[in-house]
Amino acid sequence: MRDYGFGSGGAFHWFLQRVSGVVLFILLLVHFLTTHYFPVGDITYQKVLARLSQPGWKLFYMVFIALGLYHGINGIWIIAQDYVARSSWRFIILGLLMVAGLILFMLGSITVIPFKA
Amino acid sequence: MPTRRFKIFRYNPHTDERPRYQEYEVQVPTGSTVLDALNEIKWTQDGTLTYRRSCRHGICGSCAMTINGANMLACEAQVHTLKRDPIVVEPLRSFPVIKDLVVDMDGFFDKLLLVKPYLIVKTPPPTDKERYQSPEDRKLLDGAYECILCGACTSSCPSFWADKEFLGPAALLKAYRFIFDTRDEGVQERLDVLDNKHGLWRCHTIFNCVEACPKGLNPTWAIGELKKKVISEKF
Repeated sequence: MRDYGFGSGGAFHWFLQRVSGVVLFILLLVHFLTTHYFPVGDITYQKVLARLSQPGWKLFYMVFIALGLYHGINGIWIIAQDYVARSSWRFIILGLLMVAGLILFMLGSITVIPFKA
Repeated sequence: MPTRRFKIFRYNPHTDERPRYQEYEVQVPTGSTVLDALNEIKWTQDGTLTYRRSCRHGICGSCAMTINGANMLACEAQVHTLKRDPIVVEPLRSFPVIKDLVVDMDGFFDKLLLVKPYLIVKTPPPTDKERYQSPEDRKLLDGAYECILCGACTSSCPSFWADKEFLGPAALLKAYRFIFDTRDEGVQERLDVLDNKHGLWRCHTIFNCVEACPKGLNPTWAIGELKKKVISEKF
């Protein structure tokens, strides 16, 4: 009988994909409600600046960025695993995705963290 | 008596460069199934047409094939319900073709064996009675034990099209049938087989298997339960 390549599972990433999806939905809801539906008066740069200067909102958006990137990149990785069988290609794709995720996370961080009025 | 046209996939890998389709006209009395029509073709028009069949009652699973693009049992597919003309009959997708409508099911059954499709018990059996299973425990297996292993679900699964080593819905449904059997003591060894890169996590809940199953079973739901079981065991 053939060996079907048992060894590396996917339980952890499957579980985290669902958890991150639920949390992202809540974060997105909060983001939309505060930014687009219930702003006091018109949205202005000054108001956004005031909100993003608060540590709590910084933390909110850093979590948002981290989970959004994890969810998106993990999704692409799951699709890649369906179609790419060779372990060398899998290694390259996973590496590229992780590097892309890291760069995007850094870009997000240098935008959100130093933001102040 | 009405006449229907059938466009049938023909291929002999030993002699043909590529597959072709051949058309036949068949008289179909009311109540005819696609299997009846195939028999009529083979017995009266073209004895070289090759397909699997056995029980003719939708229980052996031999005659699963793709009819008008959907996987079904030829013996259960009533010709009058098939509106497309001609009726296109093809072998199950993604399995290697041996000849015409006959596919190689070895890989399919290999994967079934991998999930250990039998009761695993380590404790000695009671001496005065059989291993007890309450009616409630038995009910847990409804929708899982009825699988006839025709392969219609696995052949319809896009995850299987992409990854031929994916266990597939039939093997996973069989795993469910034993993992959720309260008499079974082999949960962990089966879960080890399922939790791998060609196992449970390749299912993306596409539901093609549910649509294809001629017995009306729901492998996608069973796979979801198995995923929850693995997660609850691990974390």
